[in-house]
Amino acid sequence: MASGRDDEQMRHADDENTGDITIGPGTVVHPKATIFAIAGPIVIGSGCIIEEAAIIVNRRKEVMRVGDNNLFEIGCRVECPSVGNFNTISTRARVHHTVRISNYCVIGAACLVVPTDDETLDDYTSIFGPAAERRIWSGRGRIQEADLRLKHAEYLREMLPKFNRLRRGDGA
Amino acid sequence: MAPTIHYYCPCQSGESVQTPPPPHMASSSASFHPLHSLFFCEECDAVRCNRCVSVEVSGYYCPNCLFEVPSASVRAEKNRCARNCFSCPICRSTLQVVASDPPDGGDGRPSVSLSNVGEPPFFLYCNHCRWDSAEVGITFEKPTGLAAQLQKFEDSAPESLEFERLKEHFEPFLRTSSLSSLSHVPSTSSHHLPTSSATAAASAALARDVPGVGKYNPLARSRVGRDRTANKDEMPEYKSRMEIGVLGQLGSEGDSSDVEALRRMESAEEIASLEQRWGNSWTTSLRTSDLRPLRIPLHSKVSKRCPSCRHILIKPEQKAQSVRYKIKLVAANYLPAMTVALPHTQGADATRRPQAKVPSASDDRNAGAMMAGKSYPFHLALTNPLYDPIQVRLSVQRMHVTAATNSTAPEKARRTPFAVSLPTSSFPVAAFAEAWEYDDDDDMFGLEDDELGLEMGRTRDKDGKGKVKTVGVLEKRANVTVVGGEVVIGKEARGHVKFNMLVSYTYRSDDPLPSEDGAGTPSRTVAKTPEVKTFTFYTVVDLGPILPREEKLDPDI
Amino acid sequence: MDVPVYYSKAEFIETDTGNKVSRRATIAGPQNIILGGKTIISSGAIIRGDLRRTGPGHAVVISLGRYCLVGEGCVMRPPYKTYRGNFNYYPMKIGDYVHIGANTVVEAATIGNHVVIGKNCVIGKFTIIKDCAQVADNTVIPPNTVIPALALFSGSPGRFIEDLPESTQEMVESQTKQYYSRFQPLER
Repeated sequence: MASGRDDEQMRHADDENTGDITIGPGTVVHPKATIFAIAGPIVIGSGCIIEEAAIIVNRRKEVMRVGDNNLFEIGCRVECPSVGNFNTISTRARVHHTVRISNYCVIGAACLVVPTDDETLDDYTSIFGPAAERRIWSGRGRIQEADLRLKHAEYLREMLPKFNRLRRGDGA
Repeated sequence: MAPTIHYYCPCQSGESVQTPPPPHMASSSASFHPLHSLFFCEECDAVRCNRCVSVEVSGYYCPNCLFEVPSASVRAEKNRCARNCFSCPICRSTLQVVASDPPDGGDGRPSVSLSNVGEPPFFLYCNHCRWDSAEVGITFEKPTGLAAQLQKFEDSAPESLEFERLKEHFEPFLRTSSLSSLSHVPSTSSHHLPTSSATAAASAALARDVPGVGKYNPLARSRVGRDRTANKDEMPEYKSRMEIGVLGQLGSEGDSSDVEALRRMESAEEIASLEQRWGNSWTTSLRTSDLRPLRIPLHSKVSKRCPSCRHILIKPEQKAQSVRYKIKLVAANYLPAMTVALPHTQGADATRRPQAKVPSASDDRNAGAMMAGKSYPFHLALTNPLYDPIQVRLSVQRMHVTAATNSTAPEKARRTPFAVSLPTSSFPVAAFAEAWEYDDDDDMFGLEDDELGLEMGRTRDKDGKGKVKTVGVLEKRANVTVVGGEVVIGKEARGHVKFNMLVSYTYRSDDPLPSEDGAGTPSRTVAKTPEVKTFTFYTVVDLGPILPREEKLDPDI
Repeated sequence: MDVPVYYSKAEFIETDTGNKVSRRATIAGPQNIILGGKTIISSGAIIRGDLRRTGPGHAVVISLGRYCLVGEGCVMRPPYKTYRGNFNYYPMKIGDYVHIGANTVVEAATIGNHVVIGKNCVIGKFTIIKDCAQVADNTVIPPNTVIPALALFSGSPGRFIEDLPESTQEMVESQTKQYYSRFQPLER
């Protein structure tokens, strides 16, 4: 089995991907992740990591755009119409389709973000705790985090093919 | 909710009363405990609980770095970790020490590949809410010994300095008076709980007159002048370093400036919540942005002693993270463990859910409820922890007759909304043997389960006519005996089927008979043969809620 | 009194040492996973033995002791970090008599013996859980947290609630053994 190259995205044979989906180069999709374009298409940028049991859904007609280098952790569910770059959606967090995410945001583990009105999270928004409290973090440590994410994606592209059956897509 | 059975500790009732309060009284719940949380004093031959044992600290450790702190340095370090452990002032998660970012490559990626330990300044960083200590201007040149660096700030706080001065001021007085008071124990400590020397000293200190502060005493007014002169000889007057008002302004800004700050605030998050300020040693600012990281408070390992004979019941191993004990006298090793079940709910589970599924909570609640005006069998499983077989006799504690006669007629009806039948004769529970620990292979248990299934089927079949069969010994295996009981619920019954049950068991004792029976052992009586002893204890059995008849009818209307 | 918990015989594979693994669980990199015996892996669980440390030779990624239970829909995944500039996944070690509730995600470094973790928890990367500790349902334990022995943790972030009784070890041991014996196949 060929190892992943940077110009190709990598997906697993047992992911469930349905609808009009475009995934950028260097993005890694773990087994058991689901990307589901119910209404409009989903476009995912490069260098993202989509972990096991994560669910990305587009219920809206418009294109759902996910930027580069985002991390979707285990079992999270994201329905946002737009996601910028370098965001972290932590384990089992859920974000509703009324939320647009800018850059360097962190949605904490198990947080539920479901505002009734449409809103956009500012850059560096951190959401945490049982009541989904918010604060703006300083951004200190962001370079090291980006470095970790780049190396992580690189590692996965190299290691995952050794253990898993892959679907090597050229688009959807 | 599954039916429960809890065990009685007599410490809450007076010396003379050894019977527990009626199960429906709110105070009853304080006297009953799960078996696994109880202790057993061999000297007194009595059950003890966490409410009555006396506790001594046997060691301190940091719950985060698990460092075992020598008792000698605990005080100097103010009961908090003096290494690198801090909690986040915002969310109270544990903080990490991290290095500063290298220069930005321009696109959010590092300009050079990161390969080394990281560069200063270092700061504390919260993985949960992403607070960092640089936000409040705390950074470090080296990633080690952070607590020592921060403790300097703590120690130079005006409150801390004032406290140190106060201690210095009182120290000579405390030293002289503690020496003199140790000889005579004040009357207040003649409380029935004996205390360790440390607590005795503390209570003696508390009982002493504080100079300058009048101890409340109806007769004191006439003597107050005399007392004052006596104390004045020993104590010079204390002068604080600064005015109270000034001190307030240093910490929490004081009233008027707080109001001013509150006026200018735009969101509730700007004010630190009570929880965020609670763990601080001194008063802090009201503003969230002023909150500082806190050193993590130490935890302790404790020994526990019997309150009446001071016999040690729990003595942990020295190592902080060891879960072993040098001494562990827990009730579970002395009293038979009992579990209670309602076969009508289990039967439903077993037949309705053949798939590998754990019954969900909602299912449980519906199936577990009992209807008013019906009767239900229940099972009690007794497991013998002793190496000798025991004979057990069960009886239901009668409700207080006096209470019932004093009350009015409808109340009386409510007091006995159900009747419980238990096996009237005593029954054996076989001895515990280590060998059974290993007999947990599938075949054996498969067989047992089948038998149990048959048993349950049988009791269910005879539910209509042969009611007698539901009460009595149902099953014996290894050191477990299952007995059946039955509850008949009155038509007007409400609340829970909850009753106090007296359990007495006889066992063969290896010890020679103690010469005298202390006052603390009224529940134990010695049988005719000297080797046989009887131990008696109370339990409360809660079989679950009673569904009133009306509720059942409602959906049909 | 022990009500059996039935499972369909066809769904589970039973090993020589008594491990019972659901065919509906996702086991990636099984050669890197060790089960101690009499351990149950429930349906829908995901265990990532494929995320191994780089380097030659055989590497154990996840080891579970005896009488463990990985609940339905759990995700067990080794933690990762960069150390001196090098990215790596690090092994996860779990002791004996450890129960993990349904839909809990575990990225811990070590979990001791006699540990009970509730349902719907998130156990963050490199968490260390010592012997006889417990984590309540719906708890979020942030990365790098240490849970001391005999402590109960709850909340988000998970924090110390109380010390557990001295007899926790015996209780958890008998409960986990009992669960294994109750976990019985049903033909069909």
